[in-house]
Parts: sequence; structure tokens; C-alpha cells
Amino acid sequence: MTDSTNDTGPTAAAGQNNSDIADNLREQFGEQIHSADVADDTLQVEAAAEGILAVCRHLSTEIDRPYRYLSDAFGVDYGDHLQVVYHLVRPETAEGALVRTNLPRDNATMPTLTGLYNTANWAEREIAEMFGVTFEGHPDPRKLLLPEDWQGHPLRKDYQPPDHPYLRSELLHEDPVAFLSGEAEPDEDSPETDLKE
Amino acid sequence: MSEAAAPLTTEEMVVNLGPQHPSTHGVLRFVLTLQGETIVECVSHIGYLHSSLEKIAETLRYEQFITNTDRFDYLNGLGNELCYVQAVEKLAGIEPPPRTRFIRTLMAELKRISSHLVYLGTYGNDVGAMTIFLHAFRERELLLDMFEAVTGGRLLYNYLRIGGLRNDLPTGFDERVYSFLEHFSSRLEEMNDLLTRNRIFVARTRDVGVITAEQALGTGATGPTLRGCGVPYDIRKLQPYAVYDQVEFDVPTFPEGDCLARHLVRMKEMCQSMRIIRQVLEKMPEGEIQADVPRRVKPEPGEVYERVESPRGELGCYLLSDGGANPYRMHWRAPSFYNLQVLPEMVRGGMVADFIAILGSLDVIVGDIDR
Repeated sequence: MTDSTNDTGPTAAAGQNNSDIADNLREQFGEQIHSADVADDTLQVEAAAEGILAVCRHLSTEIDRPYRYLSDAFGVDYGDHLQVVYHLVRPETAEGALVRTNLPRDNATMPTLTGLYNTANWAEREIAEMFGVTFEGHPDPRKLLLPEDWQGHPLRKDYQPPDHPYLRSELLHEDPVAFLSGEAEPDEDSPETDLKE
Repeated sequence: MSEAAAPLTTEEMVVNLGPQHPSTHGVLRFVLTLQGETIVECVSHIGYLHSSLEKIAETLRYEQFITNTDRFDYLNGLGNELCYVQAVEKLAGIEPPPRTRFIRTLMAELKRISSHLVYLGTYGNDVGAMTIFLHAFRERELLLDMFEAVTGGRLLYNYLRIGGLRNDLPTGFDERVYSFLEHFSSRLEEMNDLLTRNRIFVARTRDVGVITAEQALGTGATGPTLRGCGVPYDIRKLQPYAVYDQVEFDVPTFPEGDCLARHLVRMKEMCQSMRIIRQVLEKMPEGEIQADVPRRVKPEPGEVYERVESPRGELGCYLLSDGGANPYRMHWRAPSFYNLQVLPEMVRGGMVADFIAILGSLDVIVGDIDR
């Protein structure tokens, strides 16, 4: 960090402009920031998993009109890696910023943002169950939408649903029309067998 | 004497509310820890209506998923369609014709009034004022008839198209809306007399379920919940979409942060919606309603995060395209999901009898929470 940055303090140095904020992020966090730029009037930051907490703390407290409101968080499965995206907002202008981090599929672990934003609580619980991401330090790491004993992470691209008759894609009867008109022999497994007898 | 001096000890009691309590607006369960009649802790259990629409979106083409967006927050079907369709248009670089954008705004605002009327009726029921329910639903019926005339549906519409609409407004629809507005402004005043100015209702909701603006922002609450804390956060005003930059309207806020403030925000919003509808009808141009869109929309690889203001708050839609005909990933930022997260902070320390009054004031839709 340069001397002038220290003199003017973080607020003035960061400025209000999104491109200034992006420059400042790159300067201040160095290798923790993989990319920071402004696309479609939106600040877009990609940070390392270890650095995302510090980056978000900077954006939510140390700049002018800070991004002090977390509106949303969600995961994306890119096939070779997972991504967790946070949508930060300036409540005065409703400007949004997307802060993201890439995680390996087999060991997806990152620190939780719940200490900074309460909003992250449920959002991270949903990402954890849907994508299999572990949020270190999360105060309530239970499942949210899924049953407690659910196996697998449904929003991953390679997810296979559990074997259940109602989830099978093949038809219950080979020829449903013939079955309904009574021409076909009833299937022994089908519930209609009992009704007919 | 020593017995009388000993402190009165009460045990904490755990009470289960739901999943099928008649006042929980759907299949929603809470576990309340009580100390006497005071709520010590509230834990929400959601997911009973989870249908993984985000995963379903990955298996459908962009234009096929419009019909599913109606099912998220089923009281705001046209608003959900608007959010999704705008996201796809932004992603694919499609510009809808001006008339389309006016009609979409008109329908979204009519839908906002009809959604707030459901809130009004059910909230009256929640706090023990049964009469208002039929008054509110009688007016909502007129709106549903109008939706039926335009879209063919009364609750689920499938009306918006990528780059346009399924059909134009029917002949004479303007006059129908004008006569509704005239009728409704006096009815709204009557409903205010019946509920908002009712001394019992005010005593039941004032200083109940109070949160600060910091708590609301910190927990992700938006919409009337946040504006009831005095924060003028409205996507329509701050990041205008459709034709909201061409109409004049105010964003009502109340600083108290209690159930009454949230109620007043909604009542005033209905007046503002009527104001927007009048201006939209006056300014609506003639012309095409459908832009040139390929039969199968295949946006270039890229992503978009689109937001609109639903009756319940900030509604977001994230779309990621890999160049195919299906979205690679669709994420839905449901306002009810985050609004419900603020509930424990509202009820903690309050009376158990106020719980339903507070929950009702959030106006959550379970289809929106669980998605």
C-alpha cells in the first residue's frame, strides 16, 4: 500500500466509483483477488476462498456508501469446479456487486459470511445442502429445505436421484392405453392389481 | 414466609406450531421456546413445499420455464414472469417494444394491488377482524376477472413472452381499468375505516414485532418489511425497469418498524399503484407487442442478475447461459425466503399471542420460501 493511501484513510482512497473500488481491491488484497472489474455497471470480484471474508468486510465497511447489505447468495456447478456467488447491495442506491469464489468439487470448503451478514445464514445452509459446500464457522449447519437424512446434493450437475418408483423415468405400464382399456394383463407390481381382485 | 420469598421458577416449554396450523399460510412449521407466555426462541422449519424449480429450470428451454415462474409466489404470477422474462431478454440482448413494456407495468401493478388485498384479508383474519376478509376478496375478484379477460387465467397466467406478450389487451380494457380505479379508491377508504383506523386493530399491531432498520438490512428483509423500518428501498425507484422511470410515484415509508408500519406501507402502496396505473394508461403507445425473437432462444454464454420489486420485496433472478437452449443455472432470489429469516428477531421477547400477528405482517408465501 502506498503512503498516500494511508494518509487519506481507506474511505477516501476507495472512492465511490466502482472501478476505483476494483483498483483498490487489487492493490490491497493482491493475490487474494483473482479478478476485479466493472461489467454491465456492476462490480464483479472473484476472490480466493481464504480471502473472501476480508474482501467482503472491506466492501461492507471501509468504502464510501458501503455494500452493507447482502441480498442473496447462491452456488453454481461448473462441472470441473463449484462457485459460490454473493450479491452485495448498496441500500442507498440498490447498486449490486457480485463477489464470487471458486471451490474444488471434492473439497469445497470456505469460511462463512454469517459473522458479517446475518442474511448469509439461510443462504449458506441452502448452498451447503444443494451443492455440498462446507461453510467453516457456520452457527447452524443443519439442512434447510431438504429432509435431514437426504443423501447427495441435488443441484450438482452429476446428481442422481435416489431409486424410487415415482422417480423412475420409464413407464409404469408398457402400454398404458391397452392397460386402461383392460386389454393388457395387469402388472403384478402395480397397485391396480389389488383393486381389480 | 421463606416460601413466599423464594423466586417463582417456571420451566421453559417447547411448543410446536404447524406444519398445518390454520394461521401459518401454508405448510410452515415453527418450534417456539416459551418462558411463560414470552417467546424465548423461535426456530423455523421450512422446505415442506420444496419442489426444486431451480433444477427443473435446467431441464427446460428458456421459453418453457415462463409457466413455472407463476408457481413461485403464486400471488404475484405476472411479477415473477416479468422478472424472469427481463432476465432472459437482458441475457439474449432482446429489446421488447414500448407498448409491451407499458402493458407489463400495468399488469404488474394490478397484480400488486391484488396481492396486497390478499394480505389485507388474511391479516385481518389473523388478528381477529373477520369482516375485512370478504371486503378485500370482493375487490380482488374484480381484478381476477380483469386478469382473466387479458390472459385467460385467474391465478397462473403464462402471459409474458420473451420479447413480448402472448396477446394484446382486449378492446375496452382501458375503460374497465379506469372504472375499477374509481370504484376502488372509495372502497380502499372504506377498508381503511374498517381496519386501519380501527382502535382494536391499532392496539393489536402497534409496537408489536418491532425491528430496527439495521436488523432488517442485516437479515435480508426487503419490501414493506424494510420500508416499514424507514428505509426507502424500492427497486422500482432506485434501479428502474420496464417503464417505472417514466411514471411518478412515491415510496411510502414508516419509521416505527412494527406490524402497524408494515400494514400502513402496504395500504399506501395500493394508492401509489393506482397512481402508476393511471399514468401508464395515459402514456401507453400503440404498436407492436412482440419483438423479433428466434423460435428457440439461445443466448450467448454469459450471466445476468435481474431484480424487480415484487409485492413482498426484492425479487432476483440469476441466469447463466452456456450457449444452449436451456439455462445452465437459474437461481431465484425469493423475497419471502429472506423476509422469514428476520422473524426470530421480531418475536423474541414478545408474547406468544402476538406471534401470528407478526407472522401475518410479513405476508410470506410458502411457495416462494421453499421454491
